[in-house]
Amino acid sequence: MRVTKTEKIWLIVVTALYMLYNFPGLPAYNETVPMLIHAALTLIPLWAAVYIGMHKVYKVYKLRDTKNESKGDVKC
Amino acid sequence: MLSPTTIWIAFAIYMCFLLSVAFYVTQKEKKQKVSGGLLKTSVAWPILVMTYIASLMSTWVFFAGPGAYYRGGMGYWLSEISYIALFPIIAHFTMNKVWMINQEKGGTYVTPADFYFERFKSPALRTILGLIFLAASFPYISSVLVAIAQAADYATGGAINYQTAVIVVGLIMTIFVCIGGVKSAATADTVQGLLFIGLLWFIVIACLIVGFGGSLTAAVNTLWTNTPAFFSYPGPSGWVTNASRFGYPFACAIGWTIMLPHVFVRAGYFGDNLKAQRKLSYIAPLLQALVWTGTMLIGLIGLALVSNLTKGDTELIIPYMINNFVIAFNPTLAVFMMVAFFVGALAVGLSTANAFLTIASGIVSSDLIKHTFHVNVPAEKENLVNRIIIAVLGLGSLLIAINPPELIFTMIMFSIAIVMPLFPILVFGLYWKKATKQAAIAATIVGVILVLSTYFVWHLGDTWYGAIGLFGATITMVVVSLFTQQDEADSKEFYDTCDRANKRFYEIQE
Repeated sequence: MRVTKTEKIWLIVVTALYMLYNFPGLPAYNETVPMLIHAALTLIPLWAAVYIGMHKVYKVYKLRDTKNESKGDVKC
Repeated sequence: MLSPTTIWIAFAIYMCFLLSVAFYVTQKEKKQKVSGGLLKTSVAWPILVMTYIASLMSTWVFFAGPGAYYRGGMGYWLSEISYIALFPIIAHFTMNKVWMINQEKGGTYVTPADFYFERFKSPALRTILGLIFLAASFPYISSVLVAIAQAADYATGGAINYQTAVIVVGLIMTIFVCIGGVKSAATADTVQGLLFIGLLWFIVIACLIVGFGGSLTAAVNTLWTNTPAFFSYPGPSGWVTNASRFGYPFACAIGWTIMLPHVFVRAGYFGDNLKAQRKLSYIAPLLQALVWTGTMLIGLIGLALVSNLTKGDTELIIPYMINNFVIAFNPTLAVFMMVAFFVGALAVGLSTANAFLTIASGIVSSDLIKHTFHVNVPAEKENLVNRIIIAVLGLGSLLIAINPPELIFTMIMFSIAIVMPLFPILVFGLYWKKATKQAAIAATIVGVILVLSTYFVWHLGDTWYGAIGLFGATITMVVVSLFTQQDEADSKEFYDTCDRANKRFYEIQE
């Protein structure tokens, strides 16, 4: 199955941010403020990357009008 | 707190609602002469979103979730927020492709194994997968019955016997699915989903008002002073270590939101068009975050109010707060909240159990009876046979629930872990033409053995769940595919279907 450049970038960025969140040892145990800063610096960009990337990928994969051919259970 | 009569009346009203939904959907389908049967459906996006969310949430929201936040703290919530965000990207690369291929094949898939068979053309693989997906279903359905029975037991101070509640709830659940099938379950989920989200936040706000005068800042300050471990890794119980901070959300991202059989069919088969699939990707993470945050706040408020609950009792933090704090504040409110807790647990639990029961019966009738034992059931008797299977599976889950393990969490997470190794097979099947059926079978077996070893040999199940099995299955898939061959004709039809589906549904503009 073909994967476009936009999809590849989306996948790489999201994977990198997810790995960044899970980087071992960061933040240190029993540290409250670093935990919150770490979360802000990794999770907010992760969510942003997922939604911005999704928007861009969906623009690349424009949907064709299949309204007349898909009618729910009738097809089953 | 509540009399058995109150609980049974609440239960009866709720069951009447479910049965009337089943009746309404069945009659509507008869009028429209829809031929989807009990096990297949396609639904518009609002129902798709709500049935996905409702079937995903399970008893987690009212039991295991608040208990887990109580023990794991805010770090645990952050780890969940990390995987919730991943659903759109995983869905785009896997489930939306699954949906397109199913549509191209006329919407004929019933079970997850149907899709794997389409790609690998292996009856043996279909049978093995059917058995694994079935194995994942029983603990999950049982966990729901356990949770609801515990809720009834706790809410009435033991006046309703646990076993009685398990039997009654189990029987009603089975009858509901027998009558209405998957479409009625999906329709009921829409109402149930909205109901339990509303009740969840009602409980959050009420507990906050009772415990801290409605001030979240006061609750946070109390916790910051008394239990600062809530705001750092590894959490109050030392449970959210670096390893489990990765292992747990990873298990959820793959196992929970994609691979459990009832969510697999919802995310991959149920949408009535690709727009509905996309709406699911946009909305599901936001709704999940909303629900998870409410659940986390219950754990936070509970820990701020009382910090010495035992592990098992943490899963009953909601009724504990009602019994020990709300009742002194306002007895009427306490009664109302206890009923809300019971009905919420019932709604969220039954939506999941119904979904599981339907797909489990599909696995038995399609993957096992039809394709493994080659028993052809006449079309006019299919619904009857499916109803008998649903009844048998419902009763089987009921028997497991009568004597359950200590934590509902354990049952849910084992179900999730056991299906995780099947994810790399799905991905390689979609994107790698050299992937072979021998590799798929070997990866499935190796992955499941590794998950079982993680739990029962190495005792790392509570940290790594199915992650080791998933990595083992990935490596096995690559290695065995490189050393084995499969007739190209087997996969050619699959990839031709992919190409046709791409052209039919997309206009690629890059």
